[in-house]
Amino acid sequence: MKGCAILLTFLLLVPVSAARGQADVTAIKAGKILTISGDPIADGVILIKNGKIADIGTEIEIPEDASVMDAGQNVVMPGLVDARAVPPVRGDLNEQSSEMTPALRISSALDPQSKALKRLVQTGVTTLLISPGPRNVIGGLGVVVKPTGKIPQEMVVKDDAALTIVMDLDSAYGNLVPWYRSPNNFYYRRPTTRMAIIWMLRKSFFDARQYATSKQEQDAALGILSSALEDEIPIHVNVRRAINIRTILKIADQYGLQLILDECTEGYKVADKLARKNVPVVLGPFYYYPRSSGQMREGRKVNWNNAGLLASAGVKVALASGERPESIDLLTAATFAVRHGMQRDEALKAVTITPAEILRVADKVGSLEKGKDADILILSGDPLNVTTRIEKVILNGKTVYTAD
Amino acid sequence: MKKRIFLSLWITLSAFCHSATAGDRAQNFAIRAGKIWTVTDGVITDGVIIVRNGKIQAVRNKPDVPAKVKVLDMSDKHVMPGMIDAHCHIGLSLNILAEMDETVLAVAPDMQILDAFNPLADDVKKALRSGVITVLLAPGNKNPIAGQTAVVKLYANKTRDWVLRRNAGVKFSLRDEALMFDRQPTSRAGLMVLVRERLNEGKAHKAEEFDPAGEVLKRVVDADLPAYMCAYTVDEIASAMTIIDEYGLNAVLVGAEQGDEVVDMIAERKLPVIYGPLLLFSKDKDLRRAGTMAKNGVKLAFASAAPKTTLNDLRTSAILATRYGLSPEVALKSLTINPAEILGIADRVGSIQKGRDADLVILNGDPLQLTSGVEMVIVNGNIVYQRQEE
Repeated sequence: MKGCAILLTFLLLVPVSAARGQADVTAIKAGKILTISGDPIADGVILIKNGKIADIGTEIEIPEDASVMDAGQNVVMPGLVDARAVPPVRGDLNEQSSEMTPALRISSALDPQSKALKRLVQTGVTTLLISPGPRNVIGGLGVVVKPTGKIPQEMVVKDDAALTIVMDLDSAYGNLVPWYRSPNNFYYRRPTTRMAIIWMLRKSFFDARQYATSKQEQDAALGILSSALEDEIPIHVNVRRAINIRTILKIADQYGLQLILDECTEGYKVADKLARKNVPVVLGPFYYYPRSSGQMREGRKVNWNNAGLLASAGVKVALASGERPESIDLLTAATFAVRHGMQRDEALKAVTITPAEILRVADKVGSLEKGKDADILILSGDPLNVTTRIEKVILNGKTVYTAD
Repeated sequence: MKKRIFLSLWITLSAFCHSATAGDRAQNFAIRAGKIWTVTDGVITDGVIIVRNGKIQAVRNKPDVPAKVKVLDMSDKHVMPGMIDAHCHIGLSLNILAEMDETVLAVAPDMQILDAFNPLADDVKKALRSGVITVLLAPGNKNPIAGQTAVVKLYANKTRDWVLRRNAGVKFSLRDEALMFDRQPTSRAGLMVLVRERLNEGKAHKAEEFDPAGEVLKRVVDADLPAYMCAYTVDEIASAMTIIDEYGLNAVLVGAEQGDEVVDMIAERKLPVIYGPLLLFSKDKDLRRAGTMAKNGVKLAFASAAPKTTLNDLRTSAILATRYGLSPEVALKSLTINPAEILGIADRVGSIQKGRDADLVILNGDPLQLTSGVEMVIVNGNIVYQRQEE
């Protein structure tokens, strides 16, 4: 009996000491927790274990060894997800030697020391999509990263997360051969017109379908396009004008593509069509004044009520900060969207869970739920208020930014 | 006055000419030295090095010299092995900075830097005078796969094999410098696509095909030839490691300026690092990096990257690193035996021991002091440089 008791105490002791050994438990107490996936929790607790949310609610026992972070009456919400962010990459984002570079992985050029990442963290972004630049018709593969880690591999959440296609005339700018020169320069390349852009897109998807059905030699580019055809890689189309939106939707029907539309500044003109076809949109960048040539390109204007109109038509809307450093940060963009007609909860979802779903990482980020990554913002007040500031950013359970 | 100038000129010239004409003729002598830095076997005080037929016949720790042997009395001087510059671009005539990059071709693994090397160039002589005897010649950083490197001794003579390795490996550059605005690649991601594409081609190369570039890359992928991966910043080093892991390359990191920030990854893969140059105006933060890497078990070799910097910077690099945390022992090794091992020539140069080439540098003080200067340089038993009194 005595032996039995000793054995029992040992059995009881072992798990306790094991838990002590990890001792990586943090509890956050807050006046208001916006979980996004459910109702807001008043006076709640979030328990973080090993970088994940172990528990969330009001009646949670905080373990003795947990370090407690009391946020007082501050508001807590999940870290923002930016489906189109300033790329932390040195040098050119586009491989300009060819207008079709599907095999280009932007993940192989990430710079973990980039200042853009620091800035994104300060604006509350904890997950972001990085895409190749807009100078090629098919630019390459994007990557979903978190702004943390010493080397690029540590940042990556999901590689091959998006295939970037560029409609509008971005990929044709500067390609026109001047009449007084012979077309022997590196920069004199296809396409030069809208119809050529669309012809090239059609042709490449046609080739990809042929490739998938026939047994050709291994080809990295066609392999990626054919897996995009089968919806293994989501296709992000950077498109602004309504005419181009209609065209790309036609091509999508022809090849059975599932699309995600980026920017979409004239999306409100085809809102019903987008809703019917169940095409999500990522709106942004937003800015106050156009300051650079990039901001004045075809169809690139700021329609503040676009988000509200699209959302009320039933389109899945995500907001993004855009690829340019001078554009407005995510929370401010959401605030302005609300001012111009978007519902409050929709606007909050549009910077958290909706982009997470669009990027197919909603099992990890985008809301405060048990089992998800502990990416948490602590705000001084209501998130949809421009006077609110971000007090703390917690990424994978670790504080990465504190306002001073 | 005129006479004196003529005399000194004659002495200098004869020093060069004498050894040049002496050619293969055996140079047998003994050096009585105050301190011998053997590198592999500690420091010998008041010792003797016996040179025979251009090789080191014996190293003794007593000042006795065998009879009938010519003696060079250096009993107040220090002797160290000839220094090895693990990465430089000297001896390229005309516009030296343009001569090392064939920027029209982004990938040219069959191009050989040795074909452009002029052993009689001025900077080669300057290198010898600073105590650098063996160098790795490499193409520049402006091509992703730039060409073949070579290991040579700087004292070229028709009758002597001054080329130690004609093809010592292939230089890769993952630097931003390899990006051009009017040639593939224009972006860092595109660079990786290109390198992978070409290595895959090399992997698929068949012996019966005529494809010199494929042949060389096949040897690189088979880890038969080393890959010299030029990468400076953390993201470049990470890119290099991705390629190295993917293809199982036998690689050496070149540059690796921020290598200390990912030192555990470098040490884990046992990648040697060719580091430098460190300059007198380098920041403290950068001067500490070499020490951090060495402490974590990375094998270091210094490089001057001349002509981008001056050749004297090779020894200066080691001295500055010593000032900022590198142990003097490792610093000396990083100038001699470490590069010899990395370049695969440690059986010939890099240390003072029996059987090695008689490549010796005689200094008037501790080699790791900025105050000490080179008094005499001996290559394969030939005195090729001797400092003249003013």
